[in-house]
Amino acid sequence: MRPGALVWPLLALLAWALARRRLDVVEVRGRSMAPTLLPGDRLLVARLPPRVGDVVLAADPRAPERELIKRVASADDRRVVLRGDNAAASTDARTFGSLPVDAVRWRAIGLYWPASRIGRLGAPPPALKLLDEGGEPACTFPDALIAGQ
Amino acid sequence: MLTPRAILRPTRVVDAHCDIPCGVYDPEQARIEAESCLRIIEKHEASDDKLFRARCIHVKEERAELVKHHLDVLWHDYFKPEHLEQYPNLHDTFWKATKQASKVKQSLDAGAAKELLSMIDTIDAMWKATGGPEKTRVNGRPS
Repeated sequence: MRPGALVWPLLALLAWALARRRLDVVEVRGRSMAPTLLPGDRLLVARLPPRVGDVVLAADPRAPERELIKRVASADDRRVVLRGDNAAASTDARTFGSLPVDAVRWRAIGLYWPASRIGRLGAPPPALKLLDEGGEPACTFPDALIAGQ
Repeated sequence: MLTPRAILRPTRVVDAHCDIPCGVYDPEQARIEAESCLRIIEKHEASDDKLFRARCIHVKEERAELVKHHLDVLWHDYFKPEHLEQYPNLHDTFWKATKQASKVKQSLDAGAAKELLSMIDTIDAMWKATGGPEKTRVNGRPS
């Protein structure tokens, strides 16, 4: 069998999953996930539950119409803590706290554009550290100013 | 058509973003610009130097625009829904004050500039009553 013979069945499978809303394709804006993800990157995402280490999509708790892309730094059955890989340029759990697990609805599976970086999303950079592990707050401001915004 | 290009086109944009509201707000910022407008209108009135008068108009328009900017920032960044409960006329107050700033930008009416100052003072009172000086200034408002 020619390797090319697989392309159409795979695309058909992808089309089927897209139509069933189990898979989707999204574009990244912003630099809080650099160097893992850069602005303009395109990702395949799936409706899967979040696991620690996954890159996930979640509604921004402060502006629900905005969808954030961050990494799961820790999680239990009820709550997830999301952090950007690029701590110095990320608004994440350090600002808005942990989120309920069902705020996370999509998991990023892989990057398909640009073609030079095609592949699965790798492990977080070692720089990703939670505050209680000695990580630095980079983008914090008083809760009083966030409340209600 | 379900072409590969159509399948791979992103359906939406997701944010890997960072925002840094500095959290410092004070109606004084708008008031100082509005005071400039008033003084410039008076200086314009007192002068018969054509060039100076033209500069007065230009600079006054810039200052009035800054009043609008500072009021807008207070309005959408500092004030929050719970403040609206406390001051149900909050939106109306800001709407009228920014409209008044437009009037000051367009005209050379000292009375309009004074009216703008008193509207900013009303906003200042709301800012103080909602804890603005303690919450937003680094060491409270300097006295």
